[in-house]
Amino acid sequence: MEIIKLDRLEKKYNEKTVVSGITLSIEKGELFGLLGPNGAGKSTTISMLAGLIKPTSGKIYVNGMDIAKHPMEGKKRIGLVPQEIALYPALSAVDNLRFWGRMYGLSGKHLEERVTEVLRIVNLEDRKKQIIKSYSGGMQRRINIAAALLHEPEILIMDEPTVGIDPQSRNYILEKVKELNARGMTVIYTSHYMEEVEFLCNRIAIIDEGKILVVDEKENLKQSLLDGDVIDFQLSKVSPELLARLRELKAIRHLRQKDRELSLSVDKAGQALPDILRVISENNADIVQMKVEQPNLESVFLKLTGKALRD
Amino acid sequence: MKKSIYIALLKIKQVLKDKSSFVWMFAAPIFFVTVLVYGFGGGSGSAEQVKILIADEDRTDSSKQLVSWLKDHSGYKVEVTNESESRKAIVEGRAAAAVVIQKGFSEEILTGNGTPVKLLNLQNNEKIQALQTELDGYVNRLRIENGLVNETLNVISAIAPVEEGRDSEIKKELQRTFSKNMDNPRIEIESKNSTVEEKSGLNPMSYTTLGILIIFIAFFVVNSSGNILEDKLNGTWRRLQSTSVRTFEIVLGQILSIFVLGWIQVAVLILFSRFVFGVDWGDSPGGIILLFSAFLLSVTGLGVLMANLVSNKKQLTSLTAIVIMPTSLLAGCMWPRELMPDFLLKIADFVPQSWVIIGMTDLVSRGSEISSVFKPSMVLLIFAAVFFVAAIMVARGRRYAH
Repeated sequence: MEIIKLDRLEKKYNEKTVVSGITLSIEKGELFGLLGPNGAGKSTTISMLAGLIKPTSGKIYVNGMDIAKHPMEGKKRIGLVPQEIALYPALSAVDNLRFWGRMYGLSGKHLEERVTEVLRIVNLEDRKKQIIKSYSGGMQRRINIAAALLHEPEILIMDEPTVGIDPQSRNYILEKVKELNARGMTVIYTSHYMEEVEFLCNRIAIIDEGKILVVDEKENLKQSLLDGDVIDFQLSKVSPELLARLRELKAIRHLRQKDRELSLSVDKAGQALPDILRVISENNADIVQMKVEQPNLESVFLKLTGKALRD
Repeated sequence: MKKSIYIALLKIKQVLKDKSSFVWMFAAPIFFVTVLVYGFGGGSGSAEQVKILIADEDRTDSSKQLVSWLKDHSGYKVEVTNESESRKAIVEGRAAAAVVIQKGFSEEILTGNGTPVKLLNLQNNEKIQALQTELDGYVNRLRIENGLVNETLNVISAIAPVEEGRDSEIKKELQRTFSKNMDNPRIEIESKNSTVEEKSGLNPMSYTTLGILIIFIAFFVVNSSGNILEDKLNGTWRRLQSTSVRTFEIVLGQILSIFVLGWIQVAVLILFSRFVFGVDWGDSPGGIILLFSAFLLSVTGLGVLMANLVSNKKQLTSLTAIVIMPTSLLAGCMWPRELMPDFLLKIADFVPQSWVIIGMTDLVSRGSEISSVFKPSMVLLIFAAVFFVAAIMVARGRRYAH
């Protein structure tokens, strides 16, 4: 069952397009990864989904409901874990959680039960009376997540939830996310840590400059992008005919072009190269530079977006 | 609405948990009031008696009565000397004024002609004017007393002729009785001397205190609006928006917290100054509540507007100093408004602080009638409305600009 649907979602600030026409659907129970460099439009997309900002155009459906018309329906179902520690540092963890619970409309006994439950989930029951300021980065992150779980959301959106914490806390959080997902919660996880997304997610979308470059199952992405070699060319000129001829070559699985730079992913560089070189010379292009390398997810990302994930 | 209250409670808790808030809310204004009121003698009371000299050239019963009355007067520190000595002292500035009771004082009192008392002074301030008025009053009373004594004597002798020689004895007895009554009158008659200005409402001590309180309240309230900026910066604002709270409930909660914190400050400062310093705030709690509520709303509006104009709390603190200090001075927080030229007072009408001062002055001088603060409170509420609308417009403008 489709729990989230983004339909040609677009966000412009003045004339600058931050998100340009994202269409995506996420199934109930999925653990979906959103990957992209800084400024790719991940946070803007998430903010629109969580109802923080309004899209310039396009629609968002949560559980089949248009959230522009029913904003509260979306908010009730979504728990947002923001990138920053969005807590009151001078107050204790339990005071913070009580407050956020009230903001989600909880009260009385139910509120207390939920506060205890989320403290149990993030394993901080025994330190609940400590003020947030005195917590370590990892503990703050855990309360930051706990606050989003108070109203038992069906969908958990996590925006870089592990930034700047120790490996132990990070592992703990990743395990918890898996556990929550196993219990039926739909999770959208954004990160620029490739290994986290790889560890957690079944399906991944790679996003850059406000557009989705690829969406696929993790395994498919790996097969199509991780196997084989990547050949990088810098040519004297790149014509549309050259690109068309290259795309016809069976050996080439994926082609990405940026100005006069080409990045081709192939099964085996040795077998594919003669054909590629022939096409290039037939199109009267000179090779300025050429490089063959074994890709990892990081370099696939670099090839796809032309940017490093961590910058 | 319930959520707004929870937001307000949380914000209040946050501020009150921060010990430094107490310094700015209470300690600093109380310190300033203490220094200005007591250190510079801006207030009233025994701490600032006016030093005056008396030269009694007449040396009669009447003149002695005047001298002893002045000696007992709590407002003056009296030294008895002669006329030439007192002239010298005034010129050298050793005393504020000298009262010279001229020869023939007691006769003039009987006849009621001329000015039997001369006041020597170089400065002419409120205190000297007050002394002059009090002297005129006392001399008048002496005249009436003498007249009464003589009339009574006439009546007595008409009823029962007095023995020869006992005349002056009876006269003395009568004078003693009358002057006793004069010092402890059975009926208080408040007389207004036309030479004295109308009661200005707030005495200097109340006025000084009010001015300082206004400045600190404005500072604190405007700075508290910085909590909104803090929320926006640390992401709690965004998180609030992601919950099922509506934006207007968030804004309402924030405003409510500032308003309540402002009231905690106002209440503590007003009660403290009243009961510890003995500052006269009139006798109308209702009027004070109405006026200060309107004032707090107007400065909250100003704060929210300013918070929308800057991008962090540091900038807000600087802007607060730039805005609050000059406007408070313009409003007359540090000096009497009567000393300000008309055109400045006209400009000062566009500053909320002016209207609290006007309101409080009216409230006290018009016998604490709550209706006297209606107009100033209305004006302050208009300020509040204008500031809030401007804040919304700025906020919208900024959202598009991003």
